[in-house]
Amino acid sequence: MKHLGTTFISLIIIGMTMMTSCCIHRAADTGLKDISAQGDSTVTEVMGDSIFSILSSARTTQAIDKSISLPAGCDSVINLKADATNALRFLIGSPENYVSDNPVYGLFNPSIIYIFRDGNRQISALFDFGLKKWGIADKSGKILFTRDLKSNELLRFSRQLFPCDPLLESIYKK
Amino acid sequence: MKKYILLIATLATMLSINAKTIHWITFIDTTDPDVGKWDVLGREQLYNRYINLINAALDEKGYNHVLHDYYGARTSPENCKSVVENLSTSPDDLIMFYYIGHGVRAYNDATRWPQMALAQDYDSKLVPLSWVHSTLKNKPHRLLVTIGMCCNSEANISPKSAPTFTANYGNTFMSNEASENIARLFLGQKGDILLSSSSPKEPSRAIYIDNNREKAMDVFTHILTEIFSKIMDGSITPDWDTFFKYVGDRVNTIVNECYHENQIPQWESNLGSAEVPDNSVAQQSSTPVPTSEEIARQQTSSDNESTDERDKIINWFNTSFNLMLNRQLSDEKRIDFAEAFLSRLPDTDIQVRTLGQDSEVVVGRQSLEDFVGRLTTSRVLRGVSVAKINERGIFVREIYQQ
Repeated sequence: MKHLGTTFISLIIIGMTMMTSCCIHRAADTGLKDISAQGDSTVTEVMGDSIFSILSSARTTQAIDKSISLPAGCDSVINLKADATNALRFLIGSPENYVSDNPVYGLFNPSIIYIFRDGNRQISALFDFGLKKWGIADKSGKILFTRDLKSNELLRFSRQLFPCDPLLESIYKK
Repeated sequence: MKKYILLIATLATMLSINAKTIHWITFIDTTDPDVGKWDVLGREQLYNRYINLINAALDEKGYNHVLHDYYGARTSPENCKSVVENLSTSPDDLIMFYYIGHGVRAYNDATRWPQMALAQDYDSKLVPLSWVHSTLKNKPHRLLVTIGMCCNSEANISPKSAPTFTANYGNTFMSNEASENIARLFLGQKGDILLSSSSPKEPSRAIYIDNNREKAMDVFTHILTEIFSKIMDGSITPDWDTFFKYVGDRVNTIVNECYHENQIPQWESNLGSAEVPDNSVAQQSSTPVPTSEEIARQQTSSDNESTDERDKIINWFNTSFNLMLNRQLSDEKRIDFAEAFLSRLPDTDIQVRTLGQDSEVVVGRQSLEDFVGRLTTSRVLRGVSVAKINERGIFVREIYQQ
């Protein structure tokens, strides 16, 4: 009888523990990759699902600085590691950069290009920071859309990658 | 016959005395896939609400006007370099340069002025606005105004100091007061001014007109013509620094409201005061006379493409029409000149269609003979501007005494 009582109480305790543990919010492990992979509806609407899927699943990213003012000896092509790619994805995914494409009397002449590759699939994000415009091009280089850049975050990011680019520095000092 | 010889001799005498000209060099990129269609409207507004009015007013002060009207396929760096370098002027002439199109600057450009794209994308072919100004400044002139309506934002290009290879639906009315105010602005100061529609690192922007998303043009030209109307009505003092200050403030206000950004036009002026001359008759010597074949070709043409030949023909028609309605000549002289003019044309059986100030709507139509007859006897018409000549006739805009 005593044995039965102990068992019963143990079972109750175990049961309560199990029920309680179902109600406890366990901390999830979330990395930048998980955050950056989620798309705002504004972003996916402008990009389209196929482009967004390349952006979010690209395994390699290459950053290219096409500035004619880049001093000799400075890197003009950089392969981004996973964490940098995720940070870049997050910045590109900022909805404020998809809101408008206002007309300006300047030529769209991007000096910074980020190439996202997923197997055979590829897209490029092009940035003309002086004009505050950016765009996406397909594998053949055809520009699919352009939009206004609303913040300086991607300029800051690019300056970190290409610290000796005088054009980026001059634009940033505006 | 004697009458014609006397007429020609009289005109030849007039020709050789104090020929004065206002030279308009306009380059407008109407083919750009992004802004080209807006620049079509920009060009119309610039001509209808600025250039034509100025020409009519200065005609009374003895000034011919010559147009170098580059748009469409003719907008190019090569043409810009050529017309600027080859412009021939006299000391009393006025030189007006106006550009509407894309522009950029290098981050390390020596000056604060932009480089003009002129309907192409190659870095090596960009033309510095400052080069245009300094080249024109070296030519004889009374007043030089150089205006670049384009972005001045930094881009991935090289710095340059020189080319490296090279809306009224009715008639226009202008009062005597407006004419005098225009004369004060253009003849009351001597020297030169250089202006760009944005400061370094700034783009230049467009706006929708009357909230109509199908109708847009660059902010600067729109405001320029709007403020110009206040110069004409006397609410703003007719001097260049005051004019551009009002334009600059208004442009920046509008761009702030629409885009929450700055667009601050910048200019440098080197001006001194001058005496406005009395009214006199415009001379014709600087206007080349087209051949009959050239006129016939233009009359049978179906398009309105910008060409040297088109400029030449339109300039001659403009000069001739405005001489016919010049009230400082006697009615007899005006009529005689009209007859001589008609005798030069291969085909006088063409229609003259009058357009509204800001539209392509035809508000009047008559034969060329009747039109010329009306010009020679009119007391209320003060200016005529030919918009185009094609197989459908001669399209003009008229400026009436208010």
